[in-house]
Amino acid sequence: MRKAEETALRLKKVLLQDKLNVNVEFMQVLESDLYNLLENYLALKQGSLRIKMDLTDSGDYRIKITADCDRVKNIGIVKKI
Amino acid sequence: MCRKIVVTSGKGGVGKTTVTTKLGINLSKMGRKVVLIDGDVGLNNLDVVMGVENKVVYDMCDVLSGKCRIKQALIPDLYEKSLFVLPSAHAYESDDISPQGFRALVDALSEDFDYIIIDCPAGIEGGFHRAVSSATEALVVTTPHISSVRDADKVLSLLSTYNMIDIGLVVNRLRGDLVISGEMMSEGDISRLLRCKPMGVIPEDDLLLQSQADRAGRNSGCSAIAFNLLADNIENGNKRIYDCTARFRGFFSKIKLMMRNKV
Ligand SMILES: Nc1ncnc2c1ncn2[C@@H]1O[C@H](COP(=O)(O)OP(=O)(O)OP(=O)(O)O)[C@@H](O)[C@H]1O
Ligand SMILES: [Mg+2]
Repeated sequence: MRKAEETALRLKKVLLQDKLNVNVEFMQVLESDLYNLLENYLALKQGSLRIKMDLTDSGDYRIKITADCDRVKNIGIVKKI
Repeated sequence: MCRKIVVTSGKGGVGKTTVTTKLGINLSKMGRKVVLIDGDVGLNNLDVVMGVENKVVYDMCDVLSGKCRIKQALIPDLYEKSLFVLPSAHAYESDDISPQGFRALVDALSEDFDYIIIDCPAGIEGGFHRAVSSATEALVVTTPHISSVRDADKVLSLLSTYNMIDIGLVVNRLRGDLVISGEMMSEGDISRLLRCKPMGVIPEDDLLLQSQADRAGRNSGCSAIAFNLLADNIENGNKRIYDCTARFRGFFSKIKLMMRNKV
């Protein structure tokens, strides 16, 4: 591989790593907001919500949210207008 | 309407002051009224690079403290009659000038000028915020070296929180011979990594040093065309980028068209 390509690849990894160092507070706020939102629809298991942030090769964030839930709330009230 | 452009980089010594001065000179040659502001309070050297350091009587601190009017602090350029420099204050601590005060200066000048170009200090501390928050457009200068590109990336993500109308990349000190031999990243590589469109490419040019010592002979080097294209892109919205590799490939044309949507 040519040196410039090698450098570009190395740099790409460094830049992705830099971006992933999102501050902890941000993640906590996001997590609690999401928890509250999902709680409207789902009976979530306490502390089961997980957010995982990754980066794709093109530099976009990829966000995976996982949660365990006991049951789905109020599913019967969804009406078609 | 006055355009307020901050020239910034993150990493120090990559060419912010050089880009600021050359851009100012070229824009004023195109007939625009330009003022260059030294945002590097405390470590100022814009006046020195422009060769007007002996003419400094008042600086921006004197304006802000009411010691003089803003027009008295502006130093006319030695060669271009529509180009001025507002020196920063070397006698003062950087913190003496607040972002609000700095912004007031910029706003006051915007009535009389077509361009205000702010030379931002290195780093992302208070001086960065002060310089960036008074501008509406940004040029991010980087060299092709890893550490510089990495800092440019950080600056770009900071800039995204500032509501800029436009952000462009200037790749400085590119060596066409090394790009051809595959030893140096090209402006395309860098702009893809940073996801920012290139506004200009400036080749490595030994004559730049010389032109700093003697501004009269300032237009000789191979970077002269490149700076001219940069100014033209900014003034006229063109997308012509200097091709550093051309003279090593023997092409006649040194200009290659780059479509912004390719980035
Ligand atoms: N394209 C180039 N070719 C050769 N030398 C260059 C080029 N661009 C800048 N230089 C040189 O690099 C040095 C640093 O440039 P400059 O002062 O513009 O950087 P800066 O980003 O303003 O630095 P600082 O962060 O200290 O303010 C200068 O000596 C300048 O002449
Ligand atoms: Mg400088």
